Formats: sequence, structure tokens, C-alpha cells
Amino acid sequence: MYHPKLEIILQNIEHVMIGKRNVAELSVVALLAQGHILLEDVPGVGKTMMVRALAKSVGANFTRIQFTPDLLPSDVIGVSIYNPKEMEFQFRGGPIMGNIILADEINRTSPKTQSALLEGMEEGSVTVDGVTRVLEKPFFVMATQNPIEYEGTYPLPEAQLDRFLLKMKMGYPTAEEEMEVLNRLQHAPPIDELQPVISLEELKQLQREVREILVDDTIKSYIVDLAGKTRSHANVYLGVSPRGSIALMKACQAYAMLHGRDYVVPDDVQFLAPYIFSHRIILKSEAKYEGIQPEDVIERIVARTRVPVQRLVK
Amino acid sequence: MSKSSGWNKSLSFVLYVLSFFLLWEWLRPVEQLTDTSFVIYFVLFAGLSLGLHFLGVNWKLSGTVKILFIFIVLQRLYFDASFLEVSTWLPALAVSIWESLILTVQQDWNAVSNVYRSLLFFVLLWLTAYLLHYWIAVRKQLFLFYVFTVFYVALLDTFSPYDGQYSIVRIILIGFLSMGLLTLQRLLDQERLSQSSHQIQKWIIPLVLMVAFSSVAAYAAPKAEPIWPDPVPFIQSFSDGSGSGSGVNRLGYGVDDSSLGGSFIGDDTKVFDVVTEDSQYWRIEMKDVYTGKGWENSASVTGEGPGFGLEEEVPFRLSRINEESEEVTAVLDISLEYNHLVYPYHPVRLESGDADEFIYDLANEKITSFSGEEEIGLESYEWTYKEPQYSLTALRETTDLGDLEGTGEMDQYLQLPDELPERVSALAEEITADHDNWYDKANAIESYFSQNAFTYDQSDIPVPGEGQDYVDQFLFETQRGYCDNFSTSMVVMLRAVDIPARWVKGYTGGEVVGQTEDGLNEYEVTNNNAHSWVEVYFPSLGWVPFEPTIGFTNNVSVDYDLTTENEESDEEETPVPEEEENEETPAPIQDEEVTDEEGADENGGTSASFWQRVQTALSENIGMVLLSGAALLLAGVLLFRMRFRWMPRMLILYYSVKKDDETFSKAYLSLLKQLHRFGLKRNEDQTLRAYAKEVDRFFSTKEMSHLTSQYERILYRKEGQQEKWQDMRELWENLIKRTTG
Repeated sequence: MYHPKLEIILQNIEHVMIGKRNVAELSVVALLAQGHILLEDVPGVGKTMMVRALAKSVGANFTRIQFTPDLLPSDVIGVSIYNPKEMEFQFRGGPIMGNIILADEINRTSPKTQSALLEGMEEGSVTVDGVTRVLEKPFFVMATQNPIEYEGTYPLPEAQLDRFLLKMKMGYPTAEEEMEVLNRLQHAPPIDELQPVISLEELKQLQREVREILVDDTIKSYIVDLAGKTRSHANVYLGVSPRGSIALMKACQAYAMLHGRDYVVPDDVQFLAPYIFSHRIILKSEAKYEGIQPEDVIERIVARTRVPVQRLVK
Repeated sequence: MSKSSGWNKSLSFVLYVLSFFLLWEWLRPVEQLTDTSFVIYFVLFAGLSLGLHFLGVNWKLSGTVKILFIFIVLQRLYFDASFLEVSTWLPALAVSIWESLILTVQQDWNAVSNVYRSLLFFVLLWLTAYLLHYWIAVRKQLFLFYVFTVFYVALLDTFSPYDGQYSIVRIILIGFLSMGLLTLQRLLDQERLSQSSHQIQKWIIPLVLMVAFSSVAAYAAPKAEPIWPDPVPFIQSFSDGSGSGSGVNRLGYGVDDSSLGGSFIGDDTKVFDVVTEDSQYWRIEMKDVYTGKGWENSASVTGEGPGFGLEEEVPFRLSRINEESEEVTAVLDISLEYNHLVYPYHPVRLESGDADEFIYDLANEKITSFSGEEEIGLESYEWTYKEPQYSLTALRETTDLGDLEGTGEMDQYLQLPDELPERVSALAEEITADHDNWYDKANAIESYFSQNAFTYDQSDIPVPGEGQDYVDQFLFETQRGYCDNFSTSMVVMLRAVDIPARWVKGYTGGEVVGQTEDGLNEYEVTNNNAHSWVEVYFPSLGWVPFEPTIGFTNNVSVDYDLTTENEESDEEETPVPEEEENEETPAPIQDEEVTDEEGADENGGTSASFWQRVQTALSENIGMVLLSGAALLLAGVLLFRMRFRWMPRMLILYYSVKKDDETFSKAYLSLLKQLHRFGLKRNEDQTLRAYAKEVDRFFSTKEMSHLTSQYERILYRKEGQQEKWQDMRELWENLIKRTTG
């Protein structure tokens, strides 16, 4: 029942990533919805592999930025260098000029450098020496955060987190999956064998088509309902902004397309809501001390919200 | 974390305390209504059980503590030996419980021992405490218990002497508080809210304010009179023909007159048939202490008095009457058996009756029949009596107590409560001011009611409020009432002018239902004939009955001997007044059928309007009406409960003809409802897909998912439904048929 082309991408990724169907689907959703992903997980669970497999499958230009405390904004965006032959400054694009970018350990760099990346993500363009350069499309950032190291890190400001369409975790593979990983990697990393299954042009076409996926008013009101409840929940200090609602709707459209539908159903909303909303709410400090996670709050809100199963009464 | 758990702990402590108070409300009436003493032990036990639950004590330990407590209490209450002398009291306890256990199996529940009852009560309390704990700690819902408590107290308040006035207020307060707190706890749990003091205060302060505000508002607000008449008499009359004499009955003859007032509804259960010459008031007993609310007996000892057998002269005399009056007989055929006998005003002998001995109780002047040591009821008995006739001269001569003055012998018949309002005495003085002798004074009071705007009525008669006097209420406020109101008021007013008087209960003469061959009348006396009247003491005569109740006449005849001779005057004249009186009897008899003391009915003597006729018809056929109502209700309930069985067929029929644009949606939604009734409930947050999968798993099909995917397209993709319905109808029918299986 999957969209035929997207199904191939997923299969491609699954070829490399064992048992990470969920993560693969979410990545494709973000790619289709032209959003960006924040991956929060420990090192070594396959974040880079994931992004590379995705990039290879769509034949996109893949770059990687390893964030370090001494990284400068120009290291991300690029810098103008004086060319003595031409007698002028020439712009040398930084890693942000790629299609699919892995921003590794984004919380280890200074806020200044972080915001350079984030601005690019938001605007789809960067400004260097007064010249605005539009980033090539598709432009897709997958940033990772390492949750176990807090020393010498600059956690992303809550407001900046809003720039990411969704936040997810990789999680460890199960024992069988890990066995399978070992088996496959014994000889050659399968990533090298991957071939693009879809052209960039086709991808852009799909990105345009996503916008045409039908979102009924009942679904929209369901989304609005959920977002509204995050704002009034007793454990939440700051609820989901309208930008969050828009993000959820777009993600739902992409998810529906991935599943071969041209219309959104409430299941899409329920599935995506925790990924889209949980990094967009700020819990009260009491709740944090209680050990309550934003995901729990979203889950409870979903469990308390009536699914629309009838036409709205006008 | 520790702070929040502290909050949680104190919150649940408060809840346990509140629930303890609720449980206490269950125990309060027990003390008053049953002969259970030492209720405090049960209260303590309830507290102990709840406390142990609150502390979360291991069940073995708490069980031991509770069992120990029970044994200590049982031992203290029922055995003299000290607790440590286990060998003396424990076997006795075991034997008593074992015997009672056997009696229980034999269904002889009245015979079980008190120890056993107490033990059972403890066990019941134990269970209740556990239930409360379960409701508070696990379910976190107390509503059910709260509702039961309210019902319990309301029922007792209605049907028993227990006054739940304050109890109900306490219950409402405690109940609201505890339910509010439980809701808070539930919310904290479900939503995993942080339990900071701030958060909790935000909840508790409005809660307390709300409860306080609503109680103050309720206290201050004007309260409407009840819309319905008191349902008790009606239910009682319907249930068992009333008057079993068990204390709380107010219909027919009852023992307890300590709180008079309230409405009555007719009850024509037959009490006895009597064959005799003339209509006759039938006496049962008298009461002498007026409490301000009703009547009680001054004597502390009852059941003592002279005994007599059959065909012996009765050992008492209410009054001196014309000795040469003719003796007449009355044969009574009893339908509603009591242990006491009804007797005419001047009984001479009891001719027959299936008992060994009869005791005339001096305390209340009741005649009780005994067979051996045991009180028994008689099926029939026969009195020989004289019809009373009093010398008018003697009556008129009386102006004081004469020789009895100062002896204090009549004091009990002059008793009045200290709180009796001044205006009652003032009124009595005013009524009697123009007369000098007791008879005229009594007559003046007797006729005061009919000469003024008093009306006879049985419905909507209030019970005096707290601090209100029954007589005062009747005389100055309501001026409506039935025999109790009139007779009590007359006694009180007589006493207020220092005339000894007392209150008598019994039956009026009844209705003539036939005649025997030898010219005697057969009267039928029903609960409607239950009555109360007045007796006034004349030192030279004794107790003479008076009838103040409007619409009633006693057949007391007064001998118009205007000579100063007393009662021994001309017998020839006797029949004349008697005849007069007797001619009046039919009128009251007609009234009696509709009116009367503690029996009685709705139309009380006024002309029967249509509404009243409807009421009469209703009350006559009440059995049928109630029965058919109940049958209809039952059928309705059954149909409703079984609707998941017959609904599908209706639905299939309905949707087989419908073909409009919305049919698919409507059919799908009714399928959802039907599945819900069938027991496959969809959670509010469950999507149709997830639900369809669940349904399909249950029926092991794919039909629901298939149908649902089409409905989803209609709902979320706005596809047309008409052609879909054609394709999907079969699927839909299959599914809905499955729910009938």
C-alpha cells in the first residue's frame, strides 16, 4: 500500500539499516515535507549510516558537518577568498551547500555557529558578505544531539528547536537485528552498493505533490484540538505554537503520501503527533523534577482527544 | 518527590477520615432504631479498620488486630469473666455462635443470640471498611457509596422515627469534599500532574469554598414545602394493610404516638366485624403525657393490672353510669389480630374468647389476652356491656375535684409540657370563661372547633417543626387536621383550665354492612375507623368521653335528669337521647368510611370532585395500576437491555430502503453504535482503522477494515457515497448480523 517510488527508498534504507523501518519512514516524511530532523541518540547506533543511505537513494549530494566547540559560522556557510588571478573575492561554499546534510553533535558548538545552520534551515538561504545565496533544493538537514554528554555543550534554545520538523530517537537494535547487522557487515559495508532509486527531479516533484494531499476539515480540527490541549495542560509551561500545528499537518500529508493515500486519516496524526510536538513544548519545572517526559504528556493528550469519526456539523 | 508523596499521604488521610465519618452516619441510626447498645464499639471498629487500611498494614497483622478487637468487645459486652480467663468465656462464646449458626441455617433468625448478631455486625463492618478502602485507594471513586449513604438516611428519615435532618447535611458536606478530593487524586494520577503544594492548593481552596458557599446558600435559601405528600402511609397501606403495631406505623392502630402529625391516606383493611345493637366506640388504650409533639405514657411499668377470665365480671370501671341500663352483647370477628382487645365503654363480662386470662393494664388501660404466659391474638370474642349513659345533673354539678383536690391523684391528667405556648392556655380560658361547671366548659371546647374555621383534612397536615408545639400549630396556624389534632388540642385546653383529661385511642363504630335475623346490626371496622378522642374526669362519675373531631359523633348518651338525683334516674327516657344520638351515627359512619384517625383517605367529607373520584378509583385499583405499570416498565427495560438483539433487524430493514446521499455514513455510524452495544467498545481516542482491526480480530474477518477504509474515503476524502453503498451494503449487513449471534 506504500507509494511505489517511496517504497523503494525505504527498501534501500532497510537494506543498510536493519530493523529501523520507523526511523526510515520518519526520515522520508521529513524529506517529503521539506522539514529537518533532530536525532537524539547515543553514538554508534547508525545515525550517519541512515542519512547516507537516504542521500544515496535519492542521488543527492551528501555533506557532513562535525560540530566542535571551535567551529566557526564560516566553516558551515562558506567563506569568500580573494582570488589574486581574478582580482576579486570568490565565494567558496561551506558544507551547508549540500542537499542532504548531517550536522553531527550540533549541541557541541557555540550558539553563534548553531544559529548559522539554523538560519539556513529556516530561510533556505544564507547571507555571506551581503550576498544572499539560495540553498539548492532539496535541502534537508539531519542534526544529531548526544544526550549523554552535558559538559561543554550548548543545548539548543527551546525556540530554535521549533525549526526542526520532528525529533526522534534511533534506539538500540534488538538482539536478532544486531546479529543481522554483524552478518551483513562482515564483508563489505552494504552502503557502497546502494544505487539511487529516484532522481532529485522526481523528489522535488513529490515534494510539490505532498502539498496537494487532502486534509479534511475534520482532520484539521483534530490537529488544532491537540495543539490547543498542549497549551492548557497543567504540566506544560509553553504549548505548541501554530507553527507546530502547521508542521504536524505537513508531516501528515507526507506520511499519507508515503502510505499511498492522497488524503490524511487520523491515524497519521496520532502516529506523528509525539514526534512533531514533543520538542515544541516546554514542561514546567515541577513536572521535569517528577521525571515526566514531554512524550508522556503528548501521549496523554492524544488519549484524551476525541477522534473525528463524523462529518463536522456546520 | 518526597514532598509530593507527603501530600499524597495527607490527602489520602483526609479521605480516610471523611469516609470514616460517612460510615459513622450509617451507624448513628442503628443506636436509635434498634436495641443495639454500645454502638460506640462498632464506630471504634470502623475507625480501626479504616486506620489499618490507611496505614497499609499487612493483612495478617491487621486481621489479627481486628479479630482481637472483636473478641475483646464481645467478651466485655456479653461475659462477666475477665478477658484473660479464656477458658471460661471462650467456650460459651463458641457454643452461642454455633447454636446461632444452626438457627441461621434453619432460618429462625429471630432466635439467634446477641453475641452472634454483634459478631455478624462486626464482620459486615469489616467488609464495608474494606470496600471503602478499595473505593478510596484503588478505584478512587466514592460516588456509589455516597449515593447509598444518602439513600439510606433518606429512607430511614422517611420510614422510621430517625431524624436525618442534620445527618443529611453532614453527609452532603463530607460527600462533596471527599468526592472533590478523590477527583483531584484521580487527576493527579491519570494526568501525572506534578503534586506540588501550589497545584493542590489551587484545587482545594476552590473546592472548600464551593462546598462552603453551597451549604451557606442552601441554609439561607427559602425552602419549598414538599411537593408530594408523605409517601409512607400510602406505601404502608398498600404493602400490608398497616397497623401491625410495630411502632412506626401511623395507619390504623399503632403504639407509638410520640410524634403526631403528617398526612394520611385511607386504608380500608378490615380490622374486625362486630354484631351488636348500636354503633359503639371501641376503646383500646389511653395516654396521659403530652410531650408537645405527641402522647406517651407516664407509667414506667406496663403490663401490670388485675386479671380476669371468661364470664367473670371485668375488674374495672371507667365511669359510673346508669346501673339499670340494659346489658347487650357484641360479637367481634377479628380480621387483623392484635394481642389487645377492643372494648366498649362499659364492659360487663367477656363471654367467649380463646384465651386463658386477660390482663387489664393499669398503665394504659389496655386489655391483653394471654394463653399461659404468652400474649396471643384472638380470632373472635364476645362482650357483654352496657351502653353508657351519664347523668347530666351530675355532670353539671362538677366544678372542681372535690375530695380528690390536693391529693395529687389526678396530677398526671393535668400534666402539660413547660414549653406549652401561653396563647394555648389563654385561648382555653377565653373559650371557657362564660361557663362555670366542667361539663359546660368541656362542651364549649368540644364545640369550639366546629364553630370556628377549623376543617377536617387528612392530606398535607404538617408535622410540628423543631421547637414547635403540636397543639399550638393546629390551633393557631394550620387549623386543619384530623382526629389526633382535635382530640389532643381539646385535652390540652382542658388541662389548661385545670380539668383532668386524657387522650384515648380506639376505633369508631364502623359501617353497617348487614343485619342479623334477630335485628342486630353488623358493623365492619376498618383501619379507616381508627380514631382518637377525649375523656374528661368527673369526680362523681369517672371518665366521660368527648368527641371534638368535626364530623364525628360518639353515641354517649346524657341522661337529662334535671333533678339533683344522679345516674339512677328514669330509664324510660334513656332510649330517647340514645335514639337521637344513634340517628346521627349514620352520618359519621359515612364520614368514617372516608375520614378517620390514623386511617382515612383523601376526600375527607367535602363533596367528591372529579379529581377525587379519579384518585379514589386509582387508589382502589392501585394494585392493578401498579402491577401493569411495573409490567410495562419491566418490558421497556427488557426491550432496552436486549436492544442489541432486535436493533440489527430494524436497522437492516431501515437501511434496505434508504438510498440517499448520506446513507452510507448513517449506516456506518449505526453499525458503530450496534457494535458498541454488542460490547465492542471504541475508545474515544481510537481511530476507526484501529477499531476496525480490533473488530475484525474479534470476528476473524476483514469485513470491518474493508468497510472502514471506504468510510474513511468518504469522511476524510469527501468521496461520494451513493455508489459505495451499493457495493458495501452486503458487507454492512453481514457485520451487523454478526452482532446478533
